[in-house]
Amino acid sequence: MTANETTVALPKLGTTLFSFTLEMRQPGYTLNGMIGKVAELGLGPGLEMVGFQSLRGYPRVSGEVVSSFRDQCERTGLEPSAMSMNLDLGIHRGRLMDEDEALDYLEPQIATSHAMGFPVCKSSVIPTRSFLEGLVRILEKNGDMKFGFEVHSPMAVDSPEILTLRELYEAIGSPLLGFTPDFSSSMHSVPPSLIAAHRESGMSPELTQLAIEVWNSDTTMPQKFERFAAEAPALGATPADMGKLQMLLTMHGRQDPRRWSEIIDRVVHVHAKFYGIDENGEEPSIDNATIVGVLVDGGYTGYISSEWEGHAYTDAVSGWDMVAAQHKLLRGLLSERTVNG
Amino acid sequence: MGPMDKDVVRADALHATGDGFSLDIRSHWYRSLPLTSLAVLDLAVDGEKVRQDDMTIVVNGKSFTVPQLADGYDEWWYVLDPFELRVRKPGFDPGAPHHIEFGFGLSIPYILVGPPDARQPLLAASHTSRTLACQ
Repeated sequence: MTANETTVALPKLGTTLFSFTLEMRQPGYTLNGMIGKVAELGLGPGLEMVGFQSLRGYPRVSGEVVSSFRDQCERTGLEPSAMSMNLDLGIHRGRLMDEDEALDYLEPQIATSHAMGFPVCKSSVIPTRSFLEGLVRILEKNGDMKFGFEVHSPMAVDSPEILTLRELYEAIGSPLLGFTPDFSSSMHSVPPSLIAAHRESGMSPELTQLAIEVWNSDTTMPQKFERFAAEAPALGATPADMGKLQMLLTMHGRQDPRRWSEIIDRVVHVHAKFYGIDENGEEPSIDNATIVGVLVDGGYTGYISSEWEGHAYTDAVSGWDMVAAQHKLLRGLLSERTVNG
Repeated sequence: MGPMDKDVVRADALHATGDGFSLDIRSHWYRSLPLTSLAVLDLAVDGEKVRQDDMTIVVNGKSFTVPQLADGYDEWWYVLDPFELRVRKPGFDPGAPHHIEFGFGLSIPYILVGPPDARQPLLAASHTSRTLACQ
């Protein structure tokens, strides 16, 4: 380092165990074994999990499980980063939970997350002032945990739901309320792994090409759905194909990655969603360099949690290899920022 | 169909019982769900549709009829456990291969879809068609 160079505080890397959704189904799986492998492969230090995925009986988790988790983190140097909770508003047949039920549903999840040592939790919300104020009260009772609503495709920083939350956050003024940007909202192309999976399943190249064209068009989501519905049947789309390609439109957003800066002051956690790493070590559908730049420039020093979601389309690759490859990419981008801030 | 759909009815899922057969059913979703999420159980064996009255679902060592699932918001189906779908079928031949068609629909309680005034849980459907021998 020369006299002119300065170090800057950088985000830390991490992984969500959701990345290993398929590996979890292999014989011999244990949670401790999986966490041990995250440590062994150097995919921390941040460790995130989905409570309803990784913990039997969640949110009712025994003291033994909690202390075993904390001990293992201590031993391995892993740091609990965020607990992905779920607000199951539709858990009752035929009706949705009301606000009081929803807060009662989240409270034990927040308490368990806090007991396990997670500084941040995340789930969906009911976007009202009274609900969010109730949420803040629960967070305050649990060591001032932070809450990060996930901005995930098809949402973006300026979609109506997020604008509502941004306004409510400002009105309430609690530092505990924040966001978790997910890279799925700011993609520049459709993941090649997804296209390949659809073609392998027998979908025609003309149909996948139409979906790519519609995805790339500068139109609103309803317009995209409308054009797709009008043109796809003529190309032989079955109802199952239509469902898959509508998911493609929904799950991958085209927000300009620089626009994450608009909410950077409220970012408490980050999901580095990805769908593949190519032969050059790059994510072919996401501009990681620009996003990392926005995070660093915005002073974000929390975790960037790797979230491999290609497992929804293919089991031909290992989640471990994919996360390791993404960490290499992200480490490279961060190391470019360790000097000259 | 994603990789997890292949897992819903595995090759070793079919078992003969005293009064019919049972199938081990695994989840095609990534997280544990309450029994209220078991929204669609459309089963046909050797081309014959199974009536809901002839089905029993065994989860966590407890038995439920299909209508009882509607009240099961506090009974959890852990993501890695298969549940047992027991079917009463007199005359079921345990020595012959059987063709299974299973339409499985999971109601996903945290993903709500539809217009703002009529939101409802996403239905995650999976379809299995395979011929199995009893284990």
